[in-house]
Amino acid sequence: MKLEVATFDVDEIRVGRDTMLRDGVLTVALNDLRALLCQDARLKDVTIELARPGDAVRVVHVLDAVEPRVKVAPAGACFPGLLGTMREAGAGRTHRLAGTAVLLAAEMPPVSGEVSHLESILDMSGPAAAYSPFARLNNLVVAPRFNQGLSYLECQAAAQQASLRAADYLAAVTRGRAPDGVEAFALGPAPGLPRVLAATLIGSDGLTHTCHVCGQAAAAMVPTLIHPNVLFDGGVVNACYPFASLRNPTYSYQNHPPALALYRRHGRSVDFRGVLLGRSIWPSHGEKSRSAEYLGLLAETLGADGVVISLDGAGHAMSDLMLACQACEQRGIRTTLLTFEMAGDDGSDVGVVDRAPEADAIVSCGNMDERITLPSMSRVVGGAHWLNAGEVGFAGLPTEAAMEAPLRVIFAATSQLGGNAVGVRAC
Amino acid sequence: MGDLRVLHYVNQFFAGLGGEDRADLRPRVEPGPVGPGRLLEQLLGGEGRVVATLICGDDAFARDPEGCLDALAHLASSTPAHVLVAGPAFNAGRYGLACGRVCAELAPRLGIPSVTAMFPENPGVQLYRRQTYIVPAAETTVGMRGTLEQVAGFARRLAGGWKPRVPEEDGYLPQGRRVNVVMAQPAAERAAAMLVAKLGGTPWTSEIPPARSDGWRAAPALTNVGAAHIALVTEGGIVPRGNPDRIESRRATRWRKYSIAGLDRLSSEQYECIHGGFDTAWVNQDPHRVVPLDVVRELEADRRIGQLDPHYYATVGCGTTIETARRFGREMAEDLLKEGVTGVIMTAT
Repeated sequence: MKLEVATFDVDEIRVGRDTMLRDGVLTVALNDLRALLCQDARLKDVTIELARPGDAVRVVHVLDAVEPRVKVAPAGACFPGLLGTMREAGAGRTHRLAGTAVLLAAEMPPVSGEVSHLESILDMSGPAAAYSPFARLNNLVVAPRFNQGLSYLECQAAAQQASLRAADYLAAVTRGRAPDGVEAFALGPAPGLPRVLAATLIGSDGLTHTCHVCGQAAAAMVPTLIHPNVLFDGGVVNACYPFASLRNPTYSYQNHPPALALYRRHGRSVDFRGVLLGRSIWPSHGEKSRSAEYLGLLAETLGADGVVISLDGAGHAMSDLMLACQACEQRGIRTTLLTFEMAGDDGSDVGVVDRAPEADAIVSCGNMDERITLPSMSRVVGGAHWLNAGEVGFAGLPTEAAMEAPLRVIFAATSQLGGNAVGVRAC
Repeated sequence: MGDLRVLHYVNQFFAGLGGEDRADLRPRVEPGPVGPGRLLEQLLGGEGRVVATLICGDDAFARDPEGCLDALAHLASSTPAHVLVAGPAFNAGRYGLACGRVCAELAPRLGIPSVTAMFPENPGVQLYRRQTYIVPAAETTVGMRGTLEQVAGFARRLAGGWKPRVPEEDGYLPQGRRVNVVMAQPAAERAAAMLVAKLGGTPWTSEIPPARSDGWRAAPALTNVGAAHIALVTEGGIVPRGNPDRIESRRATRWRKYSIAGLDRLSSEQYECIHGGFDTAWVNQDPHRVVPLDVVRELEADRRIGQLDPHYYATVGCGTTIETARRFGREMAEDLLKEGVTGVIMTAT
């Protein structure tokens, strides 16, 4: 199963009369795109704005980021089960616009209980920009508003569709054009090398934490194997919204960092056999244990020598991660883990809430509690007021104000798929 | 001479006032440098002076640290300084503890930064490394000159507003803090490289070090549950509706106990779940899903337990820092023991 991913570089994004890509400049006809997205009867309207690297722009209510990608062979769409179909997924040729992303920003309807949405901020300049990789992309912010009377799930589905369709619309400018670069992805034989897998635990808990695997919600999933090429074609779409910095956006699944890291070593230092997906945030120990053991069993069935395991979610998910680590290590499968830390404001607390004695190789995605200073911004995009302002002490501050905040409110700053270079130093 | 003003703290021995026999010396101050303070002043290279030396016997300090600190603060108050230097203490344990505490508590009272120096295994390091800067020193006074050179430079920079960040580069002992940095490679690359090293048998270093074992031991099992005084404790965030004590939904800083005297049930009209870590719809529908008062009352009626304590203890365990959780545990345990509780049913989420 071979997939060619053809890259078209975007160095700048602008608003214009027609949507096109020329000499690295992506021009977007906002009205055309708005009209396309508003065909969805669930949406009252959609605001579309630009957020470019270095702008004094703050994007708020950031839910997700999607890389514009489209299938050209077979012709069709990415995101099987949501936009495209399984038939196109994972093989042939896919076009991607690099250097840009669709940012989905929306205020979702309230849900019962306390797991309501936490604010999620992306500053395109200033100290926070160094922490989120999305501050370095030419972003198109798509901010839908929903009609009255819709359930949370209906709004979530409408928002997701808007972001995927916007990504598809943008990527379509590349059809029939020659790319800036092509990378071929195939898992041919690599005899004699250690067999490795990447494993990602997808967070699922209630309405505000889930992902869609080829269109299917993760809640009841049994651990499974997925070909990394299907991930690159949008096989996992994120709808899991823990603390903003922990989020694994759809963009990160499309560019799955552990899968890419292992793929690029395939045939040289490893024999990369694929990606395991499992669920995290199982509510009971029995369910956690069962899922972790199943994952270990699956890895053993595939003959894995080693697995890189990443998580999705916060404290509870860390337990799932450690159980998965144990399940693999006890079967003689070596592991490295990716996780965030919650080491307190001054970095002096123990950063992980659960440990397995076998977890001896852990990469840190950063301390989400560390405080940073955000300068005031000229423009705020994506919303007009704070979500859950009291939670992080923003109450009373205008959205463009300068403020001090914990890193956990910065979108994808400590993203646990590991695409970010943020780490931790012991001081 | 430059205008840097250094306040120096030494014990009775380094002040030249005696050895163990004078360890009970009460706080006093001398103008200018004393003992190693003279070399320290020299090493400031004309940029400053040791304006006064605070002296206290190690035993006097150990026996009455608060009294000594008050006295030292009073003695220091008439001699303003830019920075406080204590020691070096090398591997002298009581002296290291005193130096550490003087830096940690006296310097902030005077509104100035502080630095001390001691051998990495000095007990003062573990206790005070976060509240001051500890320059690594040799085990004995053989290392005096070298250590004072480091300390002089450090003190000068601190007085100028410098904020040390990197122990290895800036020359102080790690403070047990974890600080975010932007690394050369993304985390996933580092994880892949670490796995390849692990599989290939080449050395690797985990970025998150192994956990320290707390060595908790479970209390012995109750021998007669039918006579036991049991209490319900939860981190599941069940509180009286309205959350009167404003327990936080995440990163809680407090716990409370609430009366259930005479109550057989927790109604969802009168109780709510404020936990920020999960979807609370099911629990708000029926609080017994987290605090099983209904069932425990039945056990009490059937004499399967002796009695249920008239209070249940509650907090929220969502993103709670380990230190806070330890404090909650200690405080709750103290209170439970005072009430005569011998066994606890703790419900966690």
